[in-house]
Amino acid sequence: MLQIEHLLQQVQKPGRYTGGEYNSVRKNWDEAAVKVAFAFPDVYEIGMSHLGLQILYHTVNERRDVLMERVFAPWPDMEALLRKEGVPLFSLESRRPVKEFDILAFTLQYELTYTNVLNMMELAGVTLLAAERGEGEPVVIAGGPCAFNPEPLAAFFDLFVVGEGEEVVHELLEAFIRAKREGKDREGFLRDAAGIAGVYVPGFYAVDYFSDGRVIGIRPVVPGIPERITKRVVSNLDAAPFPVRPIVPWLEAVHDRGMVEVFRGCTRGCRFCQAGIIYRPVREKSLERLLLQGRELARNTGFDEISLCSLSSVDYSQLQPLVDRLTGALKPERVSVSLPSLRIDTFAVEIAQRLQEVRKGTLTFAPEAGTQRLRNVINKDVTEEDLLKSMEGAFTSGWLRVKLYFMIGLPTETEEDLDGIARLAAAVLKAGERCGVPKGRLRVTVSTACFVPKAHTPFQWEPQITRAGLRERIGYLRRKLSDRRIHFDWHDPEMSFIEAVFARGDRRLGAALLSAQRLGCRFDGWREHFDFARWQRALEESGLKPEEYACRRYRYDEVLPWDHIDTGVSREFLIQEHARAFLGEVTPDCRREECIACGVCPALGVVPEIMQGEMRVPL
Amino acid sequence: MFRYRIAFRKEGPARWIGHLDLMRALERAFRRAELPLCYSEGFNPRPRFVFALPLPVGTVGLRELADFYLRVPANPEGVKARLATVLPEGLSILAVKRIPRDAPNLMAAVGMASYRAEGELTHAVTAGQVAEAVDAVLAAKEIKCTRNGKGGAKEKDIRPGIFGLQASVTEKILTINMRVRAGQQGNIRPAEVVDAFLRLGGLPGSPRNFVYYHTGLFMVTDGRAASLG
Repeated sequence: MLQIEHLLQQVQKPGRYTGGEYNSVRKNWDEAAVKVAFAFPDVYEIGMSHLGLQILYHTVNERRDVLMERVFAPWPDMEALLRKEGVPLFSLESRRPVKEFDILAFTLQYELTYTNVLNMMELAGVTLLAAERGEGEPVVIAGGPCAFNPEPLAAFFDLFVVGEGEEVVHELLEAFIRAKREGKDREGFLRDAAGIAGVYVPGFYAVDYFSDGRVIGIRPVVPGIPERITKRVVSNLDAAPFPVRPIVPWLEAVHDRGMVEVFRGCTRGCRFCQAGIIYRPVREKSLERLLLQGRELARNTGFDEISLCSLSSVDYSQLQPLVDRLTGALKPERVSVSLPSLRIDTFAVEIAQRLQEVRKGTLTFAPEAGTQRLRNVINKDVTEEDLLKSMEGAFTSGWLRVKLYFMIGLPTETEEDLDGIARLAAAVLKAGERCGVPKGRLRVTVSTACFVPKAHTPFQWEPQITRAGLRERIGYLRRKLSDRRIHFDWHDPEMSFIEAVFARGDRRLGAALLSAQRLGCRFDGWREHFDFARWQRALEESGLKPEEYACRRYRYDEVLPWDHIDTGVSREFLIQEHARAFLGEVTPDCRREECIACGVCPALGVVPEIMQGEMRVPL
Repeated sequence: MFRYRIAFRKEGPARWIGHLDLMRALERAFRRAELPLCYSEGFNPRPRFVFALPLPVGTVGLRELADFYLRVPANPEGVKARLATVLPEGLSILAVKRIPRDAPNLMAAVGMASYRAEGELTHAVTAGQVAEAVDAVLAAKEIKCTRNGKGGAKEKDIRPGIFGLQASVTEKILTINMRVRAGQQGNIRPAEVVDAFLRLGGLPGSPRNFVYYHTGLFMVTDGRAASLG
């Protein structure tokens, strides 16, 4: 166990590094056959809000033969101390150097955490390049949504897990234990692992490029491994392990509440949305299971709030009974139930009313675009009438503050669409006045993100508009949203640009990432730490043109850097959706209407699981 | 409403959490123990905890005191036993007792606190040097120290708040026991006293290399101190 007390004395929020939280698991080090460090490449308060961490932590720690401990990105003050004092990055539970673990497992949630990934490896004393990693070092692996385009990180990881981790993590651990018993080396284990469905060993594949940098192809270079890696899905979510005894953080986490996962997947089909593709199909949990999990979660944690989490929780087929019964059960304990995101309709607002009988905070909606035309292009199934009706409902029942999320720089966007954002915000203010919200308390926040084309989506071929173009649009909106009751905030175009570079990047970007980390890029997702000048230098050093990744229109006939990763959704479907976008044609949600033939069910041998109503048979 | 006073330790990992995080941790522990706390009225109801003295982050609390109210009466031993099984690492209950609803406010009662500081000097010193340091602190007319607060750095004289000071040394390991002003009249931080001690005594070390233990709380009436709880 490392002595870190003198370090804790000198940092902000030392509770980030102490471990020992309620429900954290501390096992006997010597009794575990395999030791896994779960690494979250952002600060404690962010990582502890992540449900995936809690799921895997408890699934793995249920096993007697394996232990899993946590490590987060140290905040810059702690990083400076670790470097100065020569203390290696350590796990929270037993304060052991990360390098002493057998497996170092990162979760990749966001492209702008990649420099933190490298930095954590360096602080741990783990060799950054997988090809140079020695036999005594941990096997370094990753999963999470960004593993669906793992290429920019290919050089640094021994393997990636594509898709949902609950089942494959055990297969991987078994393979590790077996390889160890048989005395296999790293390469031997990786060969075994490459045979597990959903596991991608980047070192076993080679990429060829044209002289202009486009990809010719990605091919296996060792025999007996698949040409494409198909994502893993859990078929029976109701029976899947779920943490009803999650770790209760010492510090206030970003989402400081208990989380119940209501369903996985979302088939609303927003054309920019990666989560909507990679988590398909929709699989709901049963009402009884959810009630049980919600009650146990509250009792085992003491949280004063239980959140019903999903990509779009309001779509749960039995939301009303779930909300009514769970609120009823938890209210006597002063535990409230919440929904993280709302669909824009009056039903959602009615549900929100039931949830928030006392506290009326901010109500958040995501129209995403300012005009009906553009909402049709992105397949966001919301009308202005829906929006205003829901707002009226919200204001009438006592909400004073509303937050609206939009995206700028979407394909086909014109000035009219920006005007539409301003017009909607003004209409919402009017609705507030009409509903008698006290003068001076009415507040509308307009928050805009910049469109980032993401791998595996119908918009994966689309260019991101230039940074100058994005800045111009933000400036335009600032002038338009001048009402003092409107608060306007926006994502940084430079940050969104780097995000786009890596979201659609290939292996060659590994060099740029190494430079960026060496130049001191850290916590790039934090505006106060993001340093674009450093990034420009890093990209220059690598000799790559970042605009070729972010701002170029990729062609249908070119091989995409992530084409060997299979989400189950067919390429034909993505092309069809891309074409329909430009025709302004809306595609329905298969949970309400008929199958739209996205291909995921037949490809993965699964079906959507909807707990109530008619089951639709996929094509 | 049924009022109780709890004495607890805050050490190990729990030593490193701040006052607000401690309150949240206790509120959650009470909920896990199914002990129904009374809450404040208003827009954002909070449990009605009253802490005798918020500790600086990093200080070990050997006997912290807090009052809380339950909506239903419960046997103090039962409360103690139930809490014992649901606390995070480093928090433990020493005692729980019922107190009258109209007993004086706990926070207002505090006038003095005792601390022990233990730390390693850069090199060994003699008992004589340490005794001189004690005298130097006690003989000083004023001891200026700078505190960084919300409104920027502020100078403060801590000498009037130092009521008692003892120290001993074994080679490099220095132990300082102190009694200082605490509560609503103002708080003297133990690290400030250690800093003054090392400075005025000319001893080689840094307050950063000390561990601080909060050892006791006192009520002060007419210049006489009586232990609380």
